[in-house]
Amino acid sequence: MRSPIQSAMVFGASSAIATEFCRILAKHGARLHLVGREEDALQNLARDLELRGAKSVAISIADLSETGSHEQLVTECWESLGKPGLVLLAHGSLGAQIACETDWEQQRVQIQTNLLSHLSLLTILANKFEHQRSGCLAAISSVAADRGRASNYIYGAAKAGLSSYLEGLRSRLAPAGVRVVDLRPGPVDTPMTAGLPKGPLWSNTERVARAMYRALTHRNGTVYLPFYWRPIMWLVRLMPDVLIRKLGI
Amino acid sequence: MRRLTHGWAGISSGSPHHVLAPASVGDLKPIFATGKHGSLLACGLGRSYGDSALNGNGTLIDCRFLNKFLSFDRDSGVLECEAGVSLLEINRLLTAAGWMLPVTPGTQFVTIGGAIANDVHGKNHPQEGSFGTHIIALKIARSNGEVLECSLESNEALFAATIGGLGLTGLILSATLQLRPLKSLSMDVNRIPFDNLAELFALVSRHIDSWEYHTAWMDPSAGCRKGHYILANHATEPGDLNWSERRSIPLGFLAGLPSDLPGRLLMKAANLWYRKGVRSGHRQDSIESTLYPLDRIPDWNLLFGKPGFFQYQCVFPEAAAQAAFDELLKIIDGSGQAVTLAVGKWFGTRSTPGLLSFPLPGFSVALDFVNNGSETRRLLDSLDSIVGDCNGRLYPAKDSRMPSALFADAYPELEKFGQQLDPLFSSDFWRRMEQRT
Repeated sequence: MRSPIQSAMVFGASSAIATEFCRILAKHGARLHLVGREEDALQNLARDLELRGAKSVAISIADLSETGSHEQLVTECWESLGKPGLVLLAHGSLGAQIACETDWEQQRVQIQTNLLSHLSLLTILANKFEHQRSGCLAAISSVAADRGRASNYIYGAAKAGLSSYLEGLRSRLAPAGVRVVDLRPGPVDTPMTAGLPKGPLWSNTERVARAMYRALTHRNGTVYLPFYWRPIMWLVRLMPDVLIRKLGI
Repeated sequence: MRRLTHGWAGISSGSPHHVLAPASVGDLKPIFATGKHGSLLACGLGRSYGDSALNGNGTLIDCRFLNKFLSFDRDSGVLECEAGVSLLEINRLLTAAGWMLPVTPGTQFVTIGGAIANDVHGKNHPQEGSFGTHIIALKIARSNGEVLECSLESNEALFAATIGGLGLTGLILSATLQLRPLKSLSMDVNRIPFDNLAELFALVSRHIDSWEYHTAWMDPSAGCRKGHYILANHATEPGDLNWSERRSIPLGFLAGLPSDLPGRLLMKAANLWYRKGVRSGHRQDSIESTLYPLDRIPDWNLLFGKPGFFQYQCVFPEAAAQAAFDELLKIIDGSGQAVTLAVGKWFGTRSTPGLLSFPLPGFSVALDFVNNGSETRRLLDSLDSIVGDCNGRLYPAKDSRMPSALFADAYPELEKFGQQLDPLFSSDFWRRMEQRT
């Protein structure tokens, strides 16, 4: 059953995909609580969303890789929204694979940003939602989670960890009537990917956000964004290593 | 699909060494601070035809994600937004509140920053002036780390240089602009056929005060001397204000076509449609199809493939306009080069603060040419002399070939403009203009 999302907390709200997604929520008159690192950016986004029709927009400034603040952030959210219909984890960074390959410290930071901070938040949120017995918990993973690739296996490993975690959490929370959605976008034209050459399979933030909104109103499970990545990744997972190396995928 | 390596018309090319896309204003600081990125230039939706939004071997700062609406006063129509907001977004969001852009170019796929940097004009220039006429204030980030608020009252010199300043005075962060009230999304449109230039210019002088929007579609198969004079006004009766999205035809997959044949065919079909399919006289039409006829095919330029096309847009001062344009057409007639599209617009006397703004009171024509290499370039060189002789000028936003001497002669405020340049900002166009010939 589709139900409009009336209130949402969004971590990493100033990322391009999350911003576009929040705009759709705003258009539907939702109440929002945004979390991000940069105060100016978040305030501008809040003004934008209010202008577009959001019923209310609260903001919290935090560096999410510092897990110590997570409990407090979640509490703030429940205070401002009551029982949020949706919590979305949208923060993350692509990182520099080449630099990470020779530098454990950089690699550790990337795993911290793309995996550990999510797990810390999910731990707190899962208990809140289990208790609340309704709502939707969603996180932006990636098609990179589906198969390790030479060009970005560190990012991929973090996302694969996140996806596995969500899969298990979904089963745990299903009896409580809470949906856990694993969003896996393919490559999207965003600031994170500004330096990369774009091909025909690339998508844009508007399209991805629309698909995300549709999925988050009723679906449970893994959602590929746009949809065509599901068959593509199914094939990619079936390919033998030799073929992957030959094709240089 | 937006390309950062080619101008819209596909003639100019230049690969940036870096592309950086700030997600927020805070991300700019490291870009400016390190100084490791070579010359800088902001870019938006890639609709500049030539090389004014290219920065070969330098850094392009992709501003599409600096796209937040900051404030809007529903009573006064004053909007403040970040520079990456597109004109489409403004129309989408604010027509419903009864407000619209007072000046709009022929496409909505333009950012506010781009519209300011090129001081774009619309079909209603005689009444409303250019885009810069309606800018109340700007916020500009300079590469030394300063963020300056400027307007007609404060930092006036930087304000005037930035309007029409081709992005060379720093990075436009946000703008405050005055919108116009709107009662309905429909327009009263009138089309009057004309059979020669004298008739066209007589029609214009008769109707210039009673209609807001004026264009002339000129038929390339009749040597651009016949066509339709198209006039439009916003409907005055209250009507529907909800912007309805039209489905667009995606062509992004066609990038890199070897031939320009599909583009030539599209323009042939468009001209045929104007010649045979459109009835003259009064009718009602939507804002979208009247003001943005090509927006349904957002990537139409890709149909011109690798060869691309030339667009030659010039303006003739009023007194000389008809005679000079006639002379221009004679040269084109004798050249054997094919015009694929010809559109005329009129500019009035409303002033803009912009130092390098293109509009002059008079007649402006945009002519699209098939790219036949050096033959076409030779023809355009000879057109330059007519434009130069009558003190006209060419539009940098459309240019990929004008001689720097013509630019220097036609823009008398160039020196004053030079004082406001940001030392770290540059573009392929600007470097071309700095080479004195």
